[in-house]
Amino acid sequence: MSIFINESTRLIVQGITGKQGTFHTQEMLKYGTMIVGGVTPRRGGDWVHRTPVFDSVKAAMHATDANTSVIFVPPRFAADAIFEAIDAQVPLIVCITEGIPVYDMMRIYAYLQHSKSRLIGPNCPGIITPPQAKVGIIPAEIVRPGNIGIVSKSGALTYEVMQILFQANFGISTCVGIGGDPILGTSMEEVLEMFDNDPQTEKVVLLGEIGGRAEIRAAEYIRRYMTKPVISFIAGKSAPTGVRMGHAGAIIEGGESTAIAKIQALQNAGARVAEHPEHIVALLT
Amino acid sequence: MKVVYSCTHKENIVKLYEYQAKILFQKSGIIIPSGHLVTDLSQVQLLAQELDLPVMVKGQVLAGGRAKHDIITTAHTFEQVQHDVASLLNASIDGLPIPSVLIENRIESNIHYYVSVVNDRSARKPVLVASVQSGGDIEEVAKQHPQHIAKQYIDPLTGLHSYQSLQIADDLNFPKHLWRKFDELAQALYRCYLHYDATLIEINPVAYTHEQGFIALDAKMKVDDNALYRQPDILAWQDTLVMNETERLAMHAGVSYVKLHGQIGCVVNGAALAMTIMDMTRLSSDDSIAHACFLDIGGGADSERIVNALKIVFSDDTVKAVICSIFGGMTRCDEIASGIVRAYQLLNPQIKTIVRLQGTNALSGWEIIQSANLPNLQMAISLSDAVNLAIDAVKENIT
Repeated sequence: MSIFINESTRLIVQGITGKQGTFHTQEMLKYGTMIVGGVTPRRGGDWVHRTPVFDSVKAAMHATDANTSVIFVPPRFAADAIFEAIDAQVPLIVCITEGIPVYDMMRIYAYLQHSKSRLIGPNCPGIITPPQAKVGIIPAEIVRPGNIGIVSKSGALTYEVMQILFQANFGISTCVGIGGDPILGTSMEEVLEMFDNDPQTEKVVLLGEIGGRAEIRAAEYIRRYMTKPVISFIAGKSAPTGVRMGHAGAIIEGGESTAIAKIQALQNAGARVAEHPEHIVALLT
Repeated sequence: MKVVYSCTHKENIVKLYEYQAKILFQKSGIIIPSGHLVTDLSQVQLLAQELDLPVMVKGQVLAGGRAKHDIITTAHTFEQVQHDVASLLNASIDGLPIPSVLIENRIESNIHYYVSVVNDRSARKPVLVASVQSGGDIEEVAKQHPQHIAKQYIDPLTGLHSYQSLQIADDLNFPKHLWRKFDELAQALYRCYLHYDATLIEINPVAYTHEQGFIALDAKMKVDDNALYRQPDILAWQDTLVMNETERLAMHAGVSYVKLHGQIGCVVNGAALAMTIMDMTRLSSDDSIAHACFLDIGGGADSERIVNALKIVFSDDTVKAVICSIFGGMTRCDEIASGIVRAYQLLNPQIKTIVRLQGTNALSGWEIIQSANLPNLQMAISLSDAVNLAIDAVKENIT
C-alpha cells in the first residue's frame, strides 16, 4: 500500500505542451507512471511523448477515465486550471505551480469544500510512491521503496532528506510535498492521518519551516491520534521575524509561527525533532 | 561579537506608502482628506495660497506602528509647514528614508474608529475587523480590551454581506444613524481589498463628520506580490517601494533576497534548504559567525540567474565566504556550474566559495567546475561539509 498514488494512478498533465510540462511528462513516464493524457486549450489532437492532448480537462476525463491530474501551467492561469479540474470532478489534483495569488487560493479552498476533489499544493514538488508512480517533479534516483512516509512543505530540503535516507539504506512508502504557500489544499495533519492508516508506512518524517500554524496543528494531531512514530525537522531557527523567507508562507508573524514554538509543540506531542537533516537518520534507528 | 539577525529588507508582500494607499482608497469610493504630496521645499512654496491652516504634515515612510507618530505634526502657520517639511525630508526613521511628505487638511471630529480587512491565514478567508479604540496598536487592544473589537469572516465566494457590517456596528454600539454609513465604508474597503489584491488594508483611525461622513485619516495597505501582474497601478510604483540597489538587483534577477548581518553569503535553491543551512551554521559555530544573506534562486534557475545571484553576494563587502548549494530538481546543475564559472570570470572574487551540486546533471556540473580550475573554489559533498568549510574560510579571512 501507499497513499494518494500507486499502480492504479491514471494521470493527466495540465499544461503538457509547456516547457516544464513536456520535460516532466517525460520524467514521470520514465519512472513508469501511467499518463493517459494531457490538456492544453487549443492544442487538442496533438501528441506529446506519445500521449494524447485534449482541449479541456472534461474532454480528457471523458476519453481516458483518469483519476489524477498534475498542473504545470504558469501562475496566472493556474487558478483557472484548478477550478477546471474541480469542475471535471478529478479526484486528486496536484498543483506544482508557484506564485498563485492568495485571494485566488482562498476562493479555491472555499470551492473545494463543496467538491469531490482533493488538492495537493500549490507550490509543491508533488508525490512519489516508489516504485509505482510519481506525480510532479521529485527526482526519482534518490528513492527506493520502503516503509517511511515523508510529508513536507518544501522542495529542495525534501530532496536533501530523501538522499540522506537513501544513502543510509532507508526506503520510502510515499513522499508528499504539500507546498510552501500560506493556503494549501491539503494540510499536514490530513497526510499524517493517511500515513497512520496506511499498513505499509511504519514511521513518518515531517519536514516543516517557519510561518503559519500547520506544524502546530500537526503536533496537536500527533498528540491526540497518531499511533506511529514521527521524526521531524523544522527549518528557520535562525530566521529573522517579519520577513518572508522565499516561500510565500514562510514568514514569522506571531509566537506560534517560529521554529522554536513548532519544535516545542512537536516534542510535547511525542515527536522526535532532529537538529539538522543528517540527524534524522540517527532518530530513525 | 554577538550577531543580531535583523534586516531592512522590504517585505515581499508589497507595503504601500500612506499617500499611495489613499489614492487607491479614493478610487474605491473611500473619502480621504484633501491634501498635497511634496518631495522638496520648492513645491511647498507653490502651496502658499492654497493651504487651509491648520494642516497635518505627515512624513511618508514604509515603517509602521509607533514610529509613525513621530513624523506627524500639526502646523498652524505657513512658516511652520515649511519648517516641518524641511526637517522631515532630511530625517530618516528606523533606517528608512522619508522621500515625501503629505500635507493634509485637518479634520475635526469626536468620532474615531479602527477598521480593516485582513487575510486570516488559519481561517483561509479575509476578515473585517473594527474597533471603537483607534490610533494605537490593534494587537494591544485585542489583548487588553477584546470587548472593544468586533469581527466578521468574509466568504471569498460570496463577498461581504451588509448584515455583517451592521452586526459589527451593533456589537460595538455604534450610534444607529451611523450604521448604514459604516456599511458603505466597509463595502468600499472590501472592494478596495479585492480590486487591488490587498493582503491587509487598514484605516486607523477613520473619523466621522456630519458634512462628509466617514473619512480615512490614515491608510495602511499591503499587496500580494504574486498578484502584481494584474495590478498596473501598483507595478508603476514598484521602484518607489524598493529601497536600495541590491534589492533592485535581486528583484530584476528574480531571486528572493534578505540581507542579514553575518559574513557567509549563501546562494541556495529552495527556501527551506537555505534556512536549514543558516541554522546549521549557527549550530556549528559560536555566535560570531553567521550568514550575510538569505538568497533563494528558486526552482528551475538558469545560468543567467545564478550569475546575477553571485553578483549580489560577491559585491557585498561584508561577505567573507560564500556557500553555493544546489539540489537540482527542476534546476540543472550543469547550467548552474557554467553560471558559476561565468560569475568568476566577470567578478574575480577574492573570497573563498564553497560549491555543492547534487541532483539533476550534478556530474556534468562538477566536470565543468573542475576543468575551469577556479581559484579559491572548493567543492563540498554533504551539507555539513559545506557549512564547516565556509566557517573555516571566514575564520581564515578574518584573522
